[in-house]
Amino acid sequence: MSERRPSPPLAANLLALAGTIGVWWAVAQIRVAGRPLIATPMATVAALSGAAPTLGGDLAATAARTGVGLAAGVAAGLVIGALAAVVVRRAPVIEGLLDLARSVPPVVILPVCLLAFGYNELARVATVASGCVWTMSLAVMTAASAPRSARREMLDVAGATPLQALGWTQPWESLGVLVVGLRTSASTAVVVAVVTEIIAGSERGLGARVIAAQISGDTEGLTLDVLVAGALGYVINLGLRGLERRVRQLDA
Amino acid sequence: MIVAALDRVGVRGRDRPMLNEASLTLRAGERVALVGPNGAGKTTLVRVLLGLTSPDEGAVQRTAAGVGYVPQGYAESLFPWFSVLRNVAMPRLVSRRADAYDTARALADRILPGIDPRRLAGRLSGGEKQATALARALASTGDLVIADEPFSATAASSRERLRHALREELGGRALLLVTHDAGDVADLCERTVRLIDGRTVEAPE
Repeated sequence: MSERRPSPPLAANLLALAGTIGVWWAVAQIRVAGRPLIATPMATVAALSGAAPTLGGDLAATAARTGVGLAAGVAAGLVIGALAAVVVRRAPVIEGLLDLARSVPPVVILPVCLLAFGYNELARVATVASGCVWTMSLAVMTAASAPRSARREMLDVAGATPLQALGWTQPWESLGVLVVGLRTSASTAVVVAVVTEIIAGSERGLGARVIAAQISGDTEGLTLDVLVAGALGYVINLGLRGLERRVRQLDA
Repeated sequence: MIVAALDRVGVRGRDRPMLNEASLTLRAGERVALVGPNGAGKTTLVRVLLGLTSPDEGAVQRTAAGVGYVPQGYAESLFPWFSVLRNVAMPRLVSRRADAYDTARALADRILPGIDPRRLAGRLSGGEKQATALARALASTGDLVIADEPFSATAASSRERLRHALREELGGRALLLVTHDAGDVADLCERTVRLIDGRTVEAPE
């Protein structure tokens, strides 16, 4: 079972936070072509109050695209991975092909989705889903190809049918690998959702805010939007990391 | 009646034979100790008897399904995501016995005192896991129990209690006990088979 690290003292955390804000402030003093690279912490906080009325809606739009795309990609990945796990025993080349598909940058799928679905929401969500599907498929295949466990042997000795043995072990033994696949897919989904909004002319979403701020030279707004996009990915990752930790503790 | 038998069984390893013309007969109700130095092939013999390893030579007569088994890797054999009670009930649950939980509860009361049967098996200590694996083996429905060093992680204070539980709960079933402990042999077994370099040698009475 994994042991929790002791929490560092509050003073150390406050010091680290103050240091980070100091570095941020210092970087904000750098001028490139007469313009600041990023806004200062104070200017970013001030920009938050101005952006608040629309920021929530844009954050929700990006979160929704990420969530729906992730769900669709994971669902498709589970089905494709399960089918591939059956087929790969007869045709090992399938595993290589899935690996190749996973190596295709998801954003380059966007033009394909735009051609297929037109300039609409479906194309954006489909692009996000395409970023998750292959990672999940490979996670399912990895889980399915795990070596026979001591638990399966126990069930055989006890006279369990193959179906009983599968029910007692497979969903639980696969859980760890699947949660890791889900976490990787979620990280990809956030990136693909924001980039898709940037390059596919979305009206709402953090990507749309980022590109609008860049075009209008709004450094404060741009800094804020980048931080909010990071926070969205961080929160999703934090939640899934908690889930992963629980699953790993269970399988101690 | 013979419940399991090996007749001149051989299992080849990478660089040496794991078993070499090993023979063993277990009759109903018989309690046999299998002893020998580390690496002699005791666990391999057990695995052949259970049908988990295929022999390269010789004949194996196996008992019907439902053998109670405490493996050497007892911790990995438990289902950490299920309760202690469900783990102990497993042999009877897979054979769809209506008394699965009642039997498991009674065994847990006697063999696992002080352990909440609702606890997840993954949260138990090493010794508790081994005792749970022993209780599960004793919940089996077959006529043979095979225990591969079932007290190796047990504290000396609990060892005598578990030996007593094994003796009492075994009933009329046959026992093959793999052990390094002379106390286990004296307490639990009526016959000893020694395994040396993959060969079985019947020890004198």
